Amino acid sequence: MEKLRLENVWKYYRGKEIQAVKDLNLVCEDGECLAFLGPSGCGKTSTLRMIAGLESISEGSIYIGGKRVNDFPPQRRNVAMAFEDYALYPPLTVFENIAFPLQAKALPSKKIKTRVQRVAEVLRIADILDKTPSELSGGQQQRISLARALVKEDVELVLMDEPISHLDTTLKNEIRTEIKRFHVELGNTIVYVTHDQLEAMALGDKIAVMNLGVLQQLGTPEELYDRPTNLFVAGFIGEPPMNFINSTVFSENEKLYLQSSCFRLPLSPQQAKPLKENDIGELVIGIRPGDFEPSRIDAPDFLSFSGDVYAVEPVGDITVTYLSAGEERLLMTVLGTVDLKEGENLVLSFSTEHIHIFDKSSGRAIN
Amino acid sequence: MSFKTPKDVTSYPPKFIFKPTLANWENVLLGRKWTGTHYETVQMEVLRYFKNSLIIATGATLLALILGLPAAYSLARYKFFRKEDFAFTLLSFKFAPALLVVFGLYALYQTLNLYDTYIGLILIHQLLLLPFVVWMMRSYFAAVPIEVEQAARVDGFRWWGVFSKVTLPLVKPAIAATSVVAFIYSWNEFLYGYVLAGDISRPVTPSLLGFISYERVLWGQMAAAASLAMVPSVVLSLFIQRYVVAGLSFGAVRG
Amino acid sequence: MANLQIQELIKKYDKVTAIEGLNLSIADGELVVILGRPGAGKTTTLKVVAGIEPVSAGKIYFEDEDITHTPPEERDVAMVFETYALYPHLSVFDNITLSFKAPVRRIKLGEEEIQKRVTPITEMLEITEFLDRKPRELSGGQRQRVALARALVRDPRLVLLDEPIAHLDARLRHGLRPDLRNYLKDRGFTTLYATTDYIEAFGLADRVVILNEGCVLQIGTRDKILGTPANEKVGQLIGIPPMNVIQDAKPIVEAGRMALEANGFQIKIGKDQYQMIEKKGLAAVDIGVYPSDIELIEADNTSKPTVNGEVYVYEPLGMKGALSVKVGNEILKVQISARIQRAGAGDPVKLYIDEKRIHIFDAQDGSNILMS
Repeated sequence: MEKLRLENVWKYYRGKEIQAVKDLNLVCEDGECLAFLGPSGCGKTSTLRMIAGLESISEGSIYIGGKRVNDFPPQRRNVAMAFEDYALYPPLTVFENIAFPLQAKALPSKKIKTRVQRVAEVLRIADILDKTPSELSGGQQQRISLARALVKEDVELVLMDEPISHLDTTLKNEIRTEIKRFHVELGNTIVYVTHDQLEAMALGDKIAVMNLGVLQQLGTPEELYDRPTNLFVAGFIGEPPMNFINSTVFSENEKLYLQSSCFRLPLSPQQAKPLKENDIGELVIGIRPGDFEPSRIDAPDFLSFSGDVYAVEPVGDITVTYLSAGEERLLMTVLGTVDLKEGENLVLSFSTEHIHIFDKSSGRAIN
Repeated sequence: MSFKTPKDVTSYPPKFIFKPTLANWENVLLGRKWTGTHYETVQMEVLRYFKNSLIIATGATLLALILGLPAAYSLARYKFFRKEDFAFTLLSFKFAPALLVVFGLYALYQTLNLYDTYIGLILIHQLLLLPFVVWMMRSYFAAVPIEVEQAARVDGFRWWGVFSKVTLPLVKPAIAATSVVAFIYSWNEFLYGYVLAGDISRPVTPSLLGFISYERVLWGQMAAAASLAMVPSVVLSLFIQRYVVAGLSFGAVRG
Repeated sequence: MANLQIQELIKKYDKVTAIEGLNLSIADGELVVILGRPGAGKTTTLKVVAGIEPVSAGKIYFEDEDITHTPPEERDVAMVFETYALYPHLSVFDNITLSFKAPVRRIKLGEEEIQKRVTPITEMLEITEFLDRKPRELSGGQRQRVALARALVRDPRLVLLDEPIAHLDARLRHGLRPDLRNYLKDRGFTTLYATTDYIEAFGLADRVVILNEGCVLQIGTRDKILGTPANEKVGQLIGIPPMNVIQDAKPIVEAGRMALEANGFQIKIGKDQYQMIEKKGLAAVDIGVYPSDIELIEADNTSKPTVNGEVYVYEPLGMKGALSVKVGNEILKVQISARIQRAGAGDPVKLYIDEKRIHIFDAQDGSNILMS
């Protein structure tokens, strides 16, 4: 069952000068966590604010729970919000802040107390329930805002705008797990905005990657990681980021090859097909740092080439190695340690089935 | 009113439509009067008083800046014993009702031979401007991110280098705006100029009283002179609008 | 270049103690990174070494010269501020080269010389096209690189970097990291670098200083710190997800087998570990284990001692995933390959925790029992 639908949604400012969101179409099912992911300025916050009713919808329609809500003010949309600028009520205590939306619905005070207590414990703020927001740190205030959104249980949507961005890493990790757990247990429908791809991957059932107002790809974390449909998504998801290698197509003896400054890659018939059909000049080969092996592999689907190591960083359970090959600078990650030093020459390999090929001018994936 | 003849000025009901005359302006600016047949020289001192006001206002503003800017900076940046009390004391100069103070000051000035001197008026005006300068500039100095100054020190500049190369350029618009407002305040000041200045150093504002004589009031000329006296204030006000609105954003710091 | 020695540094702001008894020696040409949470005292330490904040107690030496009370302009250090602190009224080029005009500089460089120094740095940081723009016309990432350029272009005795690449996008960060290290090491700069990112710290540093709430928890090479974290708080700073800490485990012996019992389950330990705990007379310990050191056991018949738990929640993280498993009353995070089938909440799982991979800490103060 659809909980949220966006149909041809546009958002512009100053007449049509600034287009924050361009022709956005997507659907979020009941019980799903939909994460909007992208760099600052990509339109994700504008989209969330339009869903919330805090911004007008320039064009198109938004449906929540089947109802078209374009003309509904926020209070009529039956949503809960946790926004980046907290917007806590200064004169009320933490408890009162969190309980506020429940009191508005006139729930019995015992029930309110239990719910607030539960959410506060999960977010590690149970010990400050009697303080006022001004006495607390930014991280604590952010969690109060989050608690206030999570405490409402019978809303259509829970909307969150970068709710844990200001926390330090340890706390971020813990609370992210708890948000996920909350979602799994309660089965509520969440729309979550973030610029941190790790957060989106961990929490989202579906992720909508946006850039410059345009939806780049909508899919599960696995789909985005394994099958990115364009250069932007491929480079944005996954850390360390995917290696991009410039190359051109050429044919020899009826076979197609991709020539880059580091290696020549023969293409299988499946890979070659879309290239033959379209007249594409320059291509980008995408290989994830984890898809390299630090040795020569003489197997049919593997390609080996050599590069010069210019930095090695053992970082605990993985080792990051920097190489220059041809005109490209590449990153390779391997589990455990490697016996490599700066200045050494290394032969490395990768599976030709795990590569991604993109058209350089349009950025779209071709395979 | 400055374009009306004496008869029109005093007519009742007031005349809104009249035949304008330039006679008043001729009197005031050029010091001459048309007697029907020829120009007669008239003793008009307005321009001289105008010059006095200029000297006093400029002097007072400059002095207030020289004393006030360092005070403002130290209040913005440093911690010292009874700092806020000191700041409040500076502000309190403005609290004293002028009428109370001026008589004592008159006696004092006579003793010190400061009566009817430029210095005398400059000193007292500066005292009125100082609180304003300090309080305005304090917040602008405080708004300069301290880390930018720290970066300059790390780069190798001593306090004077930091102040002149980094802090001052960043508050230039604020200083301009503050000076202009201070100047206008001094220019419009009436009471001290009236009491503490004789003919030599009288500013233009009290000088307008000269148009009120024993027998009659020279309304037309007074109006002309008053209009003239307003000119600097109006011009400067329009001038600072641009700067005050232009904003003092920095773009140096992340937030 | 100089070596740096900090002795018993204490820094207080009114009633708050920001740094408590810091001792650190950095050799000439060494790159030392201070790793800690926001608010740990990293920026304060750098500012005190730079001289823009006075010490409350303690001494600072450059090459045996006591500079504790020398003003910053005479210390000959370069600093990159976390807030960039660029000069808003100057162009990027003037920002980078202002230090050359300071009266303190005894050697005056000519225009050409200055240009020669500036160009390789602006090229490395990819800001050459912005040289005549003002800071307000640049994005956050570009401003951060200008701040970096301003510090690197000098030839100071000490370089202080306060999270200098934190606000750049992931691609630039990963690309710049080795370049920055090579730049600093090739020129023999003595560097003190602050960050909250452990990957950055371990990737760049010769040695790492772990700072927590003003106190140094550990100073050492990355291998030493990873192998033997001096305190459980050190472990919690490292790893995505960070180290699991199981609190208040009691040592027990059952039928000749030694184990630690905590919160409803047991973890087997070896004899020497048990004896160490006994020797220290500890009634309770905390157990630290990295998510990558816990194994998910698929098969039913295995000789390894396993712990039973149920899946709490699963978070895919790209190449790997973080599986949160409820064991007894604890929730442990396990790092698993993302390519296995996603487990559902409540599913039973078996975990194997190798006794050789666990770290045992004193439950009272969190210190590693292997450290005296």
